[in-house]
Amino acid sequence: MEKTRILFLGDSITDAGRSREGVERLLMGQGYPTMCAGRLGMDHPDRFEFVNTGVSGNRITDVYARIKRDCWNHKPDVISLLVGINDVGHEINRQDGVEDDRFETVYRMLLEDTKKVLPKTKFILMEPFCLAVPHRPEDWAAFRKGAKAKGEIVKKLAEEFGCAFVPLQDKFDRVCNLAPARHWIGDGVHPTPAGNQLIADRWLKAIKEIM
Amino acid sequence: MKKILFMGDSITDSSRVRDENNRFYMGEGYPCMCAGRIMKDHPAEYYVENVGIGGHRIVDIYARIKKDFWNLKPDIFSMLIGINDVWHELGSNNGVEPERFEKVYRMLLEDTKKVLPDLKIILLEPFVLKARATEEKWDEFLEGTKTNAAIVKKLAEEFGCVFVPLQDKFDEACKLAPESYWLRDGVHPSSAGHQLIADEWLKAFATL
Repeated sequence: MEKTRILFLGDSITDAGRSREGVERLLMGQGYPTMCAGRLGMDHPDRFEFVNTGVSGNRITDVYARIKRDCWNHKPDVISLLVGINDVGHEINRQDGVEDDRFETVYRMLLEDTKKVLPKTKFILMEPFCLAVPHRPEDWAAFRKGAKAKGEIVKKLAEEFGCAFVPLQDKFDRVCNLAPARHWIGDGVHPTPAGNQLIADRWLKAIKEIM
Repeated sequence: MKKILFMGDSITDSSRVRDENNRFYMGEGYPCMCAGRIMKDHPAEYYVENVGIGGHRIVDIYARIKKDFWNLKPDIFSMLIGINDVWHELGSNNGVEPERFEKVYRMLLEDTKKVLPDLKIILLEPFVLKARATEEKWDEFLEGTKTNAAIVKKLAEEFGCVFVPLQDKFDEACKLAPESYWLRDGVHPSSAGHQLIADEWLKAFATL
């Protein structure tokens, strides 16, 4: 049986310090892709293969720039994409973000162009998220507002293109009743193992829906 | 909050981040998977750290027992060690023979019981499959690993530790997919192999 190839694409949350060389490159980093790949790989031996091409710091424009090498050329059957928080954060911190209208334009281009090249490939689009952690000096109000706007765009595009959508912001907000924000997302942006497990659990639901 | 400490070699290390200020990143292996499951399902109850170091044998673990173990005062200690004690002998004549393996492993447990009497201990069975790194000297690999595994099992019983059997599980899994699917080179697990370990570990953890 032909294996189903799942490709994780995104920023540092997806990258999660993944190895880039040798046999180690077969591992998926210290985040949710490892948890997703482990669970599916264990429960369905030899049915799936996984590629992680997340790169830290990426915004939608960076992902689009490397779409051939790091996505199309791998010929994935499923593309999982989590991107958007750097489009917000890089604007707040260094005026190098991607505004909402350009975010939508480039995200849509990525979906349209990919549909042409890989017409059978399915998408899982994940909602960007953040949590306000008091011990970090970021402008959390601006982060929340920006992430929400990006999340709405991703959700709209998921509906428009018939992609699975993985809601995450609500989930993170809700679990903050159980433990402080930093338990889930250490610095407000990068999830802890607990936060990555939350993402993985929700992602595993989404993959079941589309397979 | 209870602290869980993962100790071991490269299988445990799994490229973890070595930042003293950022101990949240657990590597890309079973400790990451165990930590995720526990910390999501029991928020604010457990804190997890990984102190595995690639290449280590039991003697290397014993050498850093204070800095990387006792001084961190864990409530639950998990250790997977033994494959390098075999491999380094076959590869570079620098292994740890079974007698010394048992002696130093026992010292580690005895000394620890004195320093941290209430500590709960989970000992994982070392394992091996026939693949790229192990096929050339497969008989020696298998025999050495099985010998060390039997020692770990015996010591677990002797010291009242929870033992996590893994070799049988990996052998069983090989009926479903090839050896290298589970252990990429015969020693280092894939994501699926790490999940197998994590699932067995979590079962053991539930019995504590």
